[in-house]
Amino acid sequence: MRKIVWLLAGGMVVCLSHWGVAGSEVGVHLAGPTAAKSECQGCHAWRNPERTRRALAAPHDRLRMQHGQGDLWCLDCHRAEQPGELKTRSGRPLPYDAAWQLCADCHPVQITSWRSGIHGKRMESWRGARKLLHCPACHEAHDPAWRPPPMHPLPVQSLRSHP
Amino acid sequence: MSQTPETLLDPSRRRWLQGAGVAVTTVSAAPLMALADPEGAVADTLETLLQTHYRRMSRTEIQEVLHRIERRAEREHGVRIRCQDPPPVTGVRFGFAVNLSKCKGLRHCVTACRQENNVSMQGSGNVRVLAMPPGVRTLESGEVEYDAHTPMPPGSWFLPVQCQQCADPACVRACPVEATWREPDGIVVIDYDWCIGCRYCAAACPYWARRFNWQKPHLSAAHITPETSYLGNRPRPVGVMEKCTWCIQRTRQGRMPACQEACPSGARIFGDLLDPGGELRHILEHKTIFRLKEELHTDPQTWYFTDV
Amino acid sequence: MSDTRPVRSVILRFALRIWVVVLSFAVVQGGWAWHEQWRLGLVVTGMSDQLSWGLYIGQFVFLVGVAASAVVLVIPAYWLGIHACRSAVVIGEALSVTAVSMALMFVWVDLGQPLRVWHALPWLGTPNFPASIMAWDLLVLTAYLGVNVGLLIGHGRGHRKSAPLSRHRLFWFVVATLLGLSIHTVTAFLLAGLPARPMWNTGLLAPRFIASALVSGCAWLLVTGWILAKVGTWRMPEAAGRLLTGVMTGALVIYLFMGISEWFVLFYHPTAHGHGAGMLYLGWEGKSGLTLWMIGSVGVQGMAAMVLVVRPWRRRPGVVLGMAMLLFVALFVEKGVGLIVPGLQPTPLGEWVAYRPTVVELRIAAAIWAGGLLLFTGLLRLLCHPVPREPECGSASTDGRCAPPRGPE
Repeated sequence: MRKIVWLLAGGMVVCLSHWGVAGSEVGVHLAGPTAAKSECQGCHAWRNPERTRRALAAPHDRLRMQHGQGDLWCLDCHRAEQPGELKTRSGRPLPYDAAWQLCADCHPVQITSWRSGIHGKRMESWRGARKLLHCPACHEAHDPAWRPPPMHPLPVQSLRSHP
Repeated sequence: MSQTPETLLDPSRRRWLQGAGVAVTTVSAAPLMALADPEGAVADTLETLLQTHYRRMSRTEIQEVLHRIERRAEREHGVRIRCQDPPPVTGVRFGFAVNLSKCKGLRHCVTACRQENNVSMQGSGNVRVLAMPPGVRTLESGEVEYDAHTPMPPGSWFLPVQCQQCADPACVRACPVEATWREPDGIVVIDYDWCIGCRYCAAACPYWARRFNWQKPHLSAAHITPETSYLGNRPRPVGVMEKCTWCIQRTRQGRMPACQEACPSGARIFGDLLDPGGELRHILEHKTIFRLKEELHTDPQTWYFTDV
Repeated sequence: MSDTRPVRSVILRFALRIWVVVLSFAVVQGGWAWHEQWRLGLVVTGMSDQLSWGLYIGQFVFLVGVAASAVVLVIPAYWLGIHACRSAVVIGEALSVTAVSMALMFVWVDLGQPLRVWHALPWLGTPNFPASIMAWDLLVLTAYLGVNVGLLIGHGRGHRKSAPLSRHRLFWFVVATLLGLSIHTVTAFLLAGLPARPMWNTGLLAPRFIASALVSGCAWLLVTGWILAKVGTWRMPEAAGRLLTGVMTGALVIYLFMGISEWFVLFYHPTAHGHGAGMLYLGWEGKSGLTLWMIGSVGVQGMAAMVLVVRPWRRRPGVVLGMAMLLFVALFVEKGVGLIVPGLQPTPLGEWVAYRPTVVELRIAAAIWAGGLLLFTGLLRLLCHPVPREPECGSASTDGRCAPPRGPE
């Protein structure tokens, strides 16, 4: 779990430095990780996944699937034919950097709110086209609960302005 | 209030007097100064003392003042800064909204604000996050001294408070010398070189948003933010008030305030109230909002809301 | 008696010199303390962001009240025609000049940037008229100081020549009276106009201020009169003394009544209004070290009121003097200390920070008081000329004017 968080944090740092540009249809610029997990691609680039819904065993057990509380599994969101792509519930293929459209299937309220700039976070500037963080920047898709970073202590001096 | 730019700029006699004051001082003292004050420290101090109100200064005068501020920062704090004076963004009125469902009381805003705004190491800082007991919304019940280990009853929540940038600010009304006013883009600012330090504004503010420089600010050269502005985060003199300016040095150049940028949970929303497609308008139109101490009729420009 | 006079006068001269030397020393040491405050900033005081006003502003408010009360002698002396009071007016004037100067000094030492006071001047600076009550306050205080200094000068001359009161001077007395009322009213508005501070945010503040000012001002004048009588340089006309006692008693009773009204509102159904007051009088959660002082102060006021309303007791100079002294101290505590600090506590965000004046603060305050007493002493010495015995200056004297004074000894 910690590992995932770290991975996520690392990913955020990398991706914050060069913005992904997609989603022009929502009038926003996206930021955040937009690529598939390389771990899966290692095998599934050449090997077709098995399509029966099941509990994942080795070698998949390193992935802790927390999303959907057991009701979801890989091929609900990933395309079996093309592991480098996602798909909506209706089956429409989606590139990774349009993941929000998939999220919208189950979380329409959050997505509406995100598109209006309320959920998530607007980056860089308050004016011009919105530059928003991509959903996976904060919610790792397989373990989506947001985990707060450590709390900053109250600056010592701030209680009284002087000793 | 009553200070339209015209009334402040107008009386030429007033300016003449002040110009004369400066001239006389400078001329009479010039030869002495060159000897006794090679670095120009005394001259700078005197000129600051005789400096006029920010809104009475011409652009060239302001340029001079900005250079003086840079020189003083280097001399007094050993830091090289760049001080600018970005004008108000036209056609924009800033506003702020805080999503209380998102705030987890992590205080990243608190530290980012201190860093960005060159708050003295001895200063209180402009942002307070209150841990609120469940079911209560009286500000006085908030606890500022919580940490990660503080046991909090279930249902506790966090309430970040800073200057609410009121549209009819009690502090501006209070100031005896017009050293604080509301800019056209909605930010309440202080002319640190005009404030006399009476602290009446601090007593008048219903949000406890104003801080005093009880001593010369302690700034570490390693941690200073060198991009500064006259009304914003430049190093302040001793004995004057300071406050949150929604990072005027950033926001007037299109950037986000430091607290918004630092917030890990995205609880802070900053933007233009006049932009019909903007976040703030969306919140005002679709969310149930409240403002702090609205009953005092200061018309705060900071709104609080929740996800549900 | 006449044979002891030279000895007495030598002793008095000596005592006066000691008094002046001690006060001068107090001023000088305070100057040193102020230098420290100037060098390091207001960090040397006990104030903080959470409690941004303290001893200085408390003293300011109290002294404005004392200054305002000088009018109590002007009104009867010139409006009600109690001419006996006229010779006492000079003390009132001297007191106002002194108290206003001290009050202005207390504001000045409270400034973070004392050299920038010129920013508040009209024309050169940018006084925030008409919005800022602070700007108003500075204006009326300066005006009151000016008018009283003028009257004092005029009074000195007029008294010497025992000239009848001109219409011109009467006009200025009226102005002084109105200004006297307004300085304290405006100072009360300064605090009452802040909805951020519920304890002050009450319409009763200004009338309470005026009432308490009348009490402490009369008390000061009575004590001064007694001291001057002891020293033998000047005797307060009996009518003036009676009048001062009467006003002191009446104002005290009214003050207590208004206090009771306030306490009722504060404590019957406690709201945010009650926080500071609760701390002040009840010591909520041990938050105040002032509780005993405040209860003591209220106790003294109640006791003094009960004593003074009894006419035979009010006629006894000893009783009146004792009550005057007690009341002065009690109101000094209540207004000079107990008003500002609890009004600022807790902060609007609920933080409680203890306030204790530092040594530097106390030294500066002591210096201002010493400076004020020096000024008062000097003014009295300049302006107070011995008045012959009582009968010639009785309340209902036939010609309605005091006998011409003798020259200074």
